[in-house]
Amino acid sequence: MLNINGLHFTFGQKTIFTDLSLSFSSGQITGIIGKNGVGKTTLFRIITGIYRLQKGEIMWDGKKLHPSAIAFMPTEPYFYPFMKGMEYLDIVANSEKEKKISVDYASVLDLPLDELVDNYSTGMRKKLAFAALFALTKPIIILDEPYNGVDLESNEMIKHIIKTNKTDKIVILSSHILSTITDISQQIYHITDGGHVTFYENNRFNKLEEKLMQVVESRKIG
Amino acid sequence: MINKIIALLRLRIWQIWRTLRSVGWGLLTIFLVISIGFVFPFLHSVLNFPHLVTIPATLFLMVIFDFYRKDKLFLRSVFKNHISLSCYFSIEYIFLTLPVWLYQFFNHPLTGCSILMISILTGFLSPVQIAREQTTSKKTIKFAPLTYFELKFFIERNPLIWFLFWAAGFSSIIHIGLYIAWVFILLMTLPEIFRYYESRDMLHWKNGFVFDKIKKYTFIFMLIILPQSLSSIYTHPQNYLIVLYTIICIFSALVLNIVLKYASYTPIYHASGISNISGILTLIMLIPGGVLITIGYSIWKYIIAEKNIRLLYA
Repeated sequence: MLNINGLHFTFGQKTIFTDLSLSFSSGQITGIIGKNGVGKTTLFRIITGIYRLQKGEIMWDGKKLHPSAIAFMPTEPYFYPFMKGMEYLDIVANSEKEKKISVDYASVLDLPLDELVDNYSTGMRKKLAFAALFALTKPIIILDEPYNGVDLESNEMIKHIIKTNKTDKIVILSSHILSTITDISQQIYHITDGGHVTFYENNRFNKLEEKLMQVVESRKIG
Repeated sequence: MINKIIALLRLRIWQIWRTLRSVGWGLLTIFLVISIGFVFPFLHSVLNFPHLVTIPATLFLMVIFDFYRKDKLFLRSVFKNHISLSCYFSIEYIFLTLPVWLYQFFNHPLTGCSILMISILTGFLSPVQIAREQTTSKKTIKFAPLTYFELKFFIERNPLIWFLFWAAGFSSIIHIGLYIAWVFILLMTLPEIFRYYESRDMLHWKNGFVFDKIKKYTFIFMLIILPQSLSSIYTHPQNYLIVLYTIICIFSALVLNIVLKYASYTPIYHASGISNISGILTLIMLIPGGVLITIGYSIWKYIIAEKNIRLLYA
């Protein structure tokens, strides 16, 4: 169980989160949604320790969370110039087993591992990072917009891989396409301006859709 | 951990090999043959520096390199803990400074050891400086038209530094060498300026698209460098030929960067190795007469660029 309690975070004068509390269970997929700039990526960066925790606590199974327990895929994964796909998988994997799994994922995602990553499209880069990270035997996996730029077929494939391989992991993902989250998640946190959070379990996802539709209706031009 | 370090170091060697290959062996050979004349005297003068200078110089360069490297977050996610990460950085920096500390070790062992220690320490402290803000705020320069979007976007990322750099060009009043150094930095910046591509919607193809772009940028660059060039000629009239040569270099480099960009343009991905080719040809230009090689290369690439854009967008 991963618990975030009383999180407070500011960027200079701008407050991103005030007393934010979230919890994530093992074997569950949790979606994080919210409009651009609301703090989804910031939240991930705080959890992974990239940003220093200003106030509050992040606990995993009763202990302080260590970043080494997390596999994090950022929105724009980093790749060295003149690096081949296979070399990336080789560097990220911690064991031969993990490497084998990542190669399998890459092969179902149709990635040419012998090609330079420089020649990959945005979606292919995303898929490569996903294949490498999801193969890691880490208890917490965070995917920041994993479907961004990915073709439809691979989108389905990624969803299938996440769904069938989550087992005892905590999977947290963000996306701007609601169906990519509602299709596989057991719970969703909807973050709104000022760091306010609404929690939805999968039997209440229709309420979330209704709420989003209301926002759209209220902003219609003319 | 050891396997990862080996894999990363192996990748670094491959990167060097692939970078060289991307430049093209022919071009590289021309560069090596031409540059022998000025590389050896330069190396000789560097080696004649007081050996103690290498200690602060190495420290300065290592800290700058470490601060600006972009792979820290990635490496942090790759290694399990800070100690493994520190070890990797240290090993990488030991290799990076190898020629310096090895040379000093045989001539001045204490200096050699100090440089080695600097490399290890910089590497060891490197993970401390990871968690910093990765985003930058950008202010739009409204009066600059989108036609010059490459330059516009480049300046918008750091207008103050750009302005200070532009103003620094007037320091050529003090010494002509400062003007040459200023032009050199400008030339090396050009590949970075022209790194960004138009989206497909922005690229309204017409006959002579690349030529039109060259014309527009020639005009804007003339405005940018004219005050500094005129002040250099005015204050150092005896060096007017040098100033004229550097102006030719600037415009040749400008043309080169534009044609290289469109010669290798595809809507799917950015072509790799362009900045390396541009960098090598820029260095060649600094050798007297070297500009002719750049001009010849640019003409060849210009024909390819026009054909390429026509093929993709006509």
